Amino acid sequence: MFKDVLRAMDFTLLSQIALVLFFLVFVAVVIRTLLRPRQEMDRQASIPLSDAPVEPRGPEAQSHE
Amino acid sequence: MSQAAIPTDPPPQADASASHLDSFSYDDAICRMFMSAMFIWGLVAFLVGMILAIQLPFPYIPGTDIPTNFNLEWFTFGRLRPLHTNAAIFAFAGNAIFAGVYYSTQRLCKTRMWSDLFSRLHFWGWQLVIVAAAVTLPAGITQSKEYAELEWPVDLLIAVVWLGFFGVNFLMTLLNRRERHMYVALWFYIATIVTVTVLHVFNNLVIPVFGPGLVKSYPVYAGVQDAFMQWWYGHNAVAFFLTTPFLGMMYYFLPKAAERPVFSYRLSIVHFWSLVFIYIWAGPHHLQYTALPDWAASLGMVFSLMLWMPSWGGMINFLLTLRGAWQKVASDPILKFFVVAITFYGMATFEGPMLSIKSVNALSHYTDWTIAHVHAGALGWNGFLAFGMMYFLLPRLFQAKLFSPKLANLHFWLATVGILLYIIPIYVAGITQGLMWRAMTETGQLAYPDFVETVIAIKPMWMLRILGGGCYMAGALIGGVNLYKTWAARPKTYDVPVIQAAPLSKLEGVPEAKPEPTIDGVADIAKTLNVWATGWWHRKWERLPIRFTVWVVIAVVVASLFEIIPTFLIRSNVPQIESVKPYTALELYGRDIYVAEGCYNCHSQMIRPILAEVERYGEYSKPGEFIYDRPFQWGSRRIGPDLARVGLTRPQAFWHAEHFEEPDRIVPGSIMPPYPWLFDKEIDWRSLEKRMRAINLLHGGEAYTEEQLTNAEAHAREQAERIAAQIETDGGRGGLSEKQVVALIAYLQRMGTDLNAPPEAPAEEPALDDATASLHTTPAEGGE
Repeated sequence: MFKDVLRAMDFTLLSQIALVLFFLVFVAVVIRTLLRPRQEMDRQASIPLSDAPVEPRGPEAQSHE
Repeated sequence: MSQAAIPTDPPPQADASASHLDSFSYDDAICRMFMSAMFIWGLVAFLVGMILAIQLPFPYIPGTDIPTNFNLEWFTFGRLRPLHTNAAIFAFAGNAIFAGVYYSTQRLCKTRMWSDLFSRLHFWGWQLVIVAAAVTLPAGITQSKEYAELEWPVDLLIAVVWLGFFGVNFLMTLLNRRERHMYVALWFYIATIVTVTVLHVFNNLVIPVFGPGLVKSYPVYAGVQDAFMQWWYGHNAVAFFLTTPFLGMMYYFLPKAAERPVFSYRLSIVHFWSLVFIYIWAGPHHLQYTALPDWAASLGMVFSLMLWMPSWGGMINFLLTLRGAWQKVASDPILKFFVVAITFYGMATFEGPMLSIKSVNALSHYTDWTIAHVHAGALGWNGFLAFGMMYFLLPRLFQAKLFSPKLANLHFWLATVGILLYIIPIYVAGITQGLMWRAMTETGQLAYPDFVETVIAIKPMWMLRILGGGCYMAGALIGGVNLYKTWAARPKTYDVPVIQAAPLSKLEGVPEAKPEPTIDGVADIAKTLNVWATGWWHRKWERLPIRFTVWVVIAVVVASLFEIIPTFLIRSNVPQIESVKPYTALELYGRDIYVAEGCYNCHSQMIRPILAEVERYGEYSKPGEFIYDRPFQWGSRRIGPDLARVGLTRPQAFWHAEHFEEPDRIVPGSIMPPYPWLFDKEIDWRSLEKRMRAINLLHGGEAYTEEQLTNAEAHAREQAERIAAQIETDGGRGGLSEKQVVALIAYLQRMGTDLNAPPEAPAEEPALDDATASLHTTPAEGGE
């Protein structure tokens, strides 16, 4: 019974749905990344340059409203 | 020793304003351990590679009749090649990853690793895995899946060490971090840990066979599905073991060495997400024109081509990070290594998608082109990043000035020339062989019908490769001098700087709260979008490594399932062929010898539907032919000819027996090594039933009858005696009926014959006198 149901299903549609979902999520990630403030990006990019915490830490220290 | 001579990072800046300060130091000892292991195992990987490179063009020591495998089974190409690949990937690159991850993670999280004990368990556990590989692979204990050859006990150990020690230690460190934002390198590390876990577990699902002295298993997947799983794994092992962790390391060590932040942090985020989203889909491009369903192979190709964008985006981001610092590249060996590594990353990630294009793949697949491609990646990208990182870390970890920048420069140039001397001849060899295989005369005949012609043609290229590999290895040895001398100049006790900082939880500041919209007088949806665009939700989300990890898992698993489920469930993917039957006891045992000897390293079992291949090897392979093949043996390289239909083209047992004894005598010019031990080692008759029961279990009890199982030994002895008698009658050696060579020949005689096997004889007509029919014993026939 279960096997019959599985056999009757068209799984190729799943691949297409997945493709569209993946594309939409990816676009959302890109848009969100591009919208982030430059100041925040610069601070995050500089994290590796110091071995000790640089204060203040975290974006909450900045004004982003 | 003068501290001024040692590169130091900016002095720790204590947080004076916070009321509760933690004191902590970084665990650099574990980085020293992993870096030393990286170097030692790297040399082992290069040495085994050199031995293989010599064995191919020189099957015998020139001027003598001494084979270069010295008639030793554990020194033969088929068994050593997996040792080389495993040593290069998991021992050399693996230890490089751990050295880099442990060094950078602590500094990016501004905290010590969560558990020193787990770090040590990880280190010693991983070295134990490597030693186990070095023992079992030459011993012929293998699952035969490329880069997943290690048998189930070692696989269990890997799972414990990778996830239990490394994964837990890493994630707990993230939880205890003192830096709010997780730098993008850490994202790459998270993706590595979770994806490699998923890949490792699902590609190694096996049923073990227990018996005295037996370390053996059969995969739960068979044929097409096994191939699909293997190359989903194999491709993503390259993606998530040799690419993402190294990208994470490059995003950390390149800014450190260049003393400037990465060119575009935005681009690095897009680089990460696009790789995670796309890479996992690309695996089937390893199986173009095989019996894999065409839709899956096409999907793999499309996603591979999409990888061009993020890969080159990343490469450009790295190169632009050096803007204004190129004068340093000329003088600093670390940056030199990094620039060449980035260049090879760009080249290899351009070439990979190109090779996935079907028409290119039709030429390149099974040739040395692939070998050149992977060595450009492994030696150029992984090797140069690892050695560049080593030169960055040496003075910092050993707290002594680098012994000789001049020697480091010499290492750089020798290695660069070495890579070029390796890959250029091997590209030529690959394209030459691919063109010779497909060349047809005007009358529609193969232009080079003798496979061995196409081997002899590329031998000079293989000889040049030895020179290239030698240069690369000589460079590494010079690196070893630098490593040793710098280590020797270390202080008696290492200085361990103590850093003071408040933990994140005690920092003043509010949790990420949803901000109010900054616009008014607009529709609610606009206000919602306005709030969403501030990215507050993502910052909140980013602070939670667990949730971040879960999203990476979802991206990877969902993509995998969408690709895997249809392959397993669409019935038309593997059409059943009525005449394809399970292997007999002796054939199954022979097949296990084929697997153990690593025959798949040189011989494919997959005739693609291409005119020249059908002309050369026979009718193209059908998916339904492989349903009893556990594991699949399609192979990825034709150093020797395809064997998918060898049962039809070479049915004589005598030919095979003579050929195994001295291949060059039967096929002049052959580079196959002799296999004398097959004539000495005896068949383990008692294990036959256990092997068949494992297979039967996987086929729901429908592969063999109870009678076939309980009388496995008797049936096998009967078939073995018949083959041994054929060999003796034709003028070959006598008394082989107990020897392994007979079992292997039984398997070879069976290969590819089922497709056009005669229909089953009616029950009342005993077909027992017919040797062919009895080879195709079926449950219906009762195997009598």
